[in-house]
Amino acid sequence: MTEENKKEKLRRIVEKASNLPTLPDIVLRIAEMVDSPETTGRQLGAEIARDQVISAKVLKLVNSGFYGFSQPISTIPHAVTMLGFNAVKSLVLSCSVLDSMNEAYPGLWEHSLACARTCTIIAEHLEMADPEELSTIGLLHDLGKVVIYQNIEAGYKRIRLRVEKKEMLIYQAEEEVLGSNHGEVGGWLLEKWALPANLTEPITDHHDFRPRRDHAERTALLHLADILCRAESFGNGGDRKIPRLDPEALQVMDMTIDDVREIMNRMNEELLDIPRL
Amino acid sequence: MRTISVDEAQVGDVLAEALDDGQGKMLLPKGSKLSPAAISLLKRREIRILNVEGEDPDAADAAKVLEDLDFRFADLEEDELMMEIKKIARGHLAKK
Repeated sequence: MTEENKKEKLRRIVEKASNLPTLPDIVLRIAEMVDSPETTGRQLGAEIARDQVISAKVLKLVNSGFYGFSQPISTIPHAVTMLGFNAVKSLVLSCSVLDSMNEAYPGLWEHSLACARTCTIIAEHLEMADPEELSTIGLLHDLGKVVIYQNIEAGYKRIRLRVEKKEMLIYQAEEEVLGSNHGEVGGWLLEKWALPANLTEPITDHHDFRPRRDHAERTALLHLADILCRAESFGNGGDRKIPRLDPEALQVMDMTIDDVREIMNRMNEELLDIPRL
Repeated sequence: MRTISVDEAQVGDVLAEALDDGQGKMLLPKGSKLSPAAISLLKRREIRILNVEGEDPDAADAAKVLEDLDFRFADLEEDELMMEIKKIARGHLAKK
């Protein structure tokens, strides 16, 4: 099978996974509502709030510390106001996937949480708008690892074997085994859920930084956050090696090593509750 | 060898150096295995610190963390930027 065919086949598996029965009707209804320009935040919040399990999961996520709100967020409409439609939608849609993070790779949840908070730290450093949305991108950046674990059993086993035996990075093993990496896989799922490109593109490209794409700054931010979390050993991404930082990513953000040092110092001071694994 | 306070001394610790009372009188020779009576003696004689055999378990942990950091960055030694990042992380991890 050619690389392209391999990739197409994988994409079909992933897109089929987005319609699995594990996604209850309510989730699909919420997805449709978010896409309709007529839906108000109030309506959306009311719809999500009708499902106790999903509401509870989303509120737990929103309050787990990575958004850094000083007051707890206790209702879904409040979460929609604070985070925006798309961040809430992506949390609703991915909460069943997030539940399985540490089954796929022990420590992946802690790594994702650290990455979410690091994205906020970098966004604040750069005085970017929407630090909450960037935090969501950090939380979901390794979604594809879980999608592969849940849907492509044989591939997942071969990837893990390669990572352990050859001391490879997961994304490189995935490219060898599947012809694609977890960034792309997660991106496909989020695209299938009709999330906008400013949210999906950074996730798709976080191991393949391309400075001339539309959302290069957000992608650069995520690429850096992921690498810094690994350098500082917060959580565990599932592999032990560290991907190379693309120097163009720093250029896109107009940053030098001194900015990186400031960010790493802040991580070291603020992420005390996240275990170094 | 590691230096510990007398309060940290455990029965079975082995002295890495002879202990004297500060006035030249030897209390315990090098290689003595500390018994409960020996620890009481040291406390009575107001000995505050002593050198015993063995690695400090915390230092061993710290060494392992730094060794792990070297392993994780091993393929990136040619990359100046990554080496700078490693140096910063090392500073943080060494203090843990």
